Amino acid sequence: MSTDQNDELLLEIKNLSVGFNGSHKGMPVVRGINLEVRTGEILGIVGESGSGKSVTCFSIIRLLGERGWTEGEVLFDGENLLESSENEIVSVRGKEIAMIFQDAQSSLNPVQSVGRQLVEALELRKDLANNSSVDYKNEAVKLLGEVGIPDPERRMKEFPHQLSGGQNQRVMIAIMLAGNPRLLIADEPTTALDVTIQAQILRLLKKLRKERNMTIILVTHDLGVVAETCDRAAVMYGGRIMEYGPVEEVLVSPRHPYTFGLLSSKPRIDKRSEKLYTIEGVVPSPEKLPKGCPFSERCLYVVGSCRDNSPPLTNEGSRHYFCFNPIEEGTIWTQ
Amino acid sequence: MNSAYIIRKVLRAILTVWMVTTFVFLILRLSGDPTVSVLGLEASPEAVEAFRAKWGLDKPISVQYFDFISNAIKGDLGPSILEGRSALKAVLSRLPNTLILMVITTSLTFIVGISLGLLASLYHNTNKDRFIMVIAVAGYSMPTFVVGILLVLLFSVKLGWLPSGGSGTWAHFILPVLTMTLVESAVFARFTRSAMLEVLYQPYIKTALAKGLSWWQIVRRHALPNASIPIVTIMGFWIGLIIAGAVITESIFGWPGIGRLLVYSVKHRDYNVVQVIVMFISCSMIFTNLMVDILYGFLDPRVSIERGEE
Repeated sequence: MSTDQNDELLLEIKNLSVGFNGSHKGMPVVRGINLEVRTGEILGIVGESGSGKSVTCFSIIRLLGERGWTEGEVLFDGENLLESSENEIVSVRGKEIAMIFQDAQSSLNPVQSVGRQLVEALELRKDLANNSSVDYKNEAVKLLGEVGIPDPERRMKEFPHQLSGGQNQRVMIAIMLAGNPRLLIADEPTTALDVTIQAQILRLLKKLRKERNMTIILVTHDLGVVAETCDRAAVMYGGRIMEYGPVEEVLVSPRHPYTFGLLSSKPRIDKRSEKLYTIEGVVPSPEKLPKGCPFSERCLYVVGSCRDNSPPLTNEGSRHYFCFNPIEEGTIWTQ
Repeated sequence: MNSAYIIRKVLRAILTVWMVTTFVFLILRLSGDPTVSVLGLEASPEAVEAFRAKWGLDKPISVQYFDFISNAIKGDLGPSILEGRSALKAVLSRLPNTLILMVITTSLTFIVGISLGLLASLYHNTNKDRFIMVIAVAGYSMPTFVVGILLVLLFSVKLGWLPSGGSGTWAHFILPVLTMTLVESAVFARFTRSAMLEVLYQPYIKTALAKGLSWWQIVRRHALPNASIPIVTIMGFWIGLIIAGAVITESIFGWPGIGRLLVYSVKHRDYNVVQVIVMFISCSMIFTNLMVDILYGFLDPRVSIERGEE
């Protein structure tokens, strides 16, 4: 995919495939995707469970675990993170690229206080370590304040099980801000939270982007979250990117039948109907994906070539999609 | 950790010791008395009667039990029928021998077992891991008496390097210590490994990685402390068990500790000595578990907080 604007590229994913040894018969879970992340943007990656969106993110800072394998390139500052040494990737994690996860409570160490976990992250900062006058505790309290934790002084001594889900996610964000990273990957950060808390966390992410000029990759299965938060969106299905472009184009007039289907499945407040639209079938597991477009078996717009050939990339202004039979502009996505 | 909690714990401990002792008291008396052991089969009926009267064995069990309890409350646990002196003294004179063996074995077991378990977990699914686990499975599949006897056959009978039993020199320690360490550290290796693996696959380990900690920092600061919680539990439980397990090791190697004394006293129905030893074993079990509970408060803040609210 080409750069449409002259925004500075922060991260470039080139032909990335990811898989796990010993599962899915060795078939990759992510299959040769390309993606660009520009400085200061919030990029949304949307898709159903099993579409490969989280795996893509984990592979960026190599958190796949011992069974994971990758192919292709993840370029950050021109350096391929997939091939950098263990020491190099450790120095990228937290300081350049940080990541928050879906279930904040289990993602925090249950037997360490919030303050201790936060201070630990701050102590990894080289610029602070060289400054003898720095008070880590004070810095930690400031960070908790920044992410909107009330009474941060007191919270420092508390443990994750004493905090609510939303507060734990704020703590997670504070921990990941400690290293002052340029890129924050948020893997479904609001999925486990109530809607009101969800909105607060999303507002916090937007605030951080604005105040710290931080770049954010937001992984979600919720199109509403994307519409509200992101600048650009990539829609993933079956380990591939289906459609990719500015949110106002992708979500308003989708070209790909999959995006179209997703949007049609959303309940709408202005239209009451008996039954919600559903995309027929289920997401196939990686070893059962069709040879051509992964969505071809469930697609209402399927044509002859879909099943056997991979659809080519179509560029249309700032938006890109992979489809033989795209939705025409102006089709309204209601049932 | 408030005082109501401690009082409840202590009361529960006293109740447990009382129940265990009562049980042993009854079982022992139902299985015969020491007259034959002491006087022999040929003793005259008068001698038998005199002996039974001397030690109060002719009274009904309920009376004996009442005497035992009322004396025990005063701190008198009764005499050893075989040795003539107080049962408590008879046990205490053997106790140091058992304790020294236990301290050495326990420390070695913890060091060897936990290190092997850690090694296996950190090299999970590699040949190192598999090798350690094969040895561990072999180790704990073999009962102590089999390992002990095999070691005696090899080092004492065949090679003649080490004494097969008894005590007195440092060489006498080697076989009993080796036997127990081999078997028990296998259990610890397996347990430590699974505790570590459990922790290493927790989501917060991923967070620690994403924060930018190196693998060793994570192992040291997050994995080890958290895995130590279940390991400490089993350690406490195990210290209690190993004192009971001393019976077998001490019998094999003729070690003059309370384990062998227990076997001997049961055989000859030396009631009071058996009761003292059983009391000691249950007290040590309860004590180590109490220690574990207290340690928990330090290792896991969730426990102490819940207790505070109790």
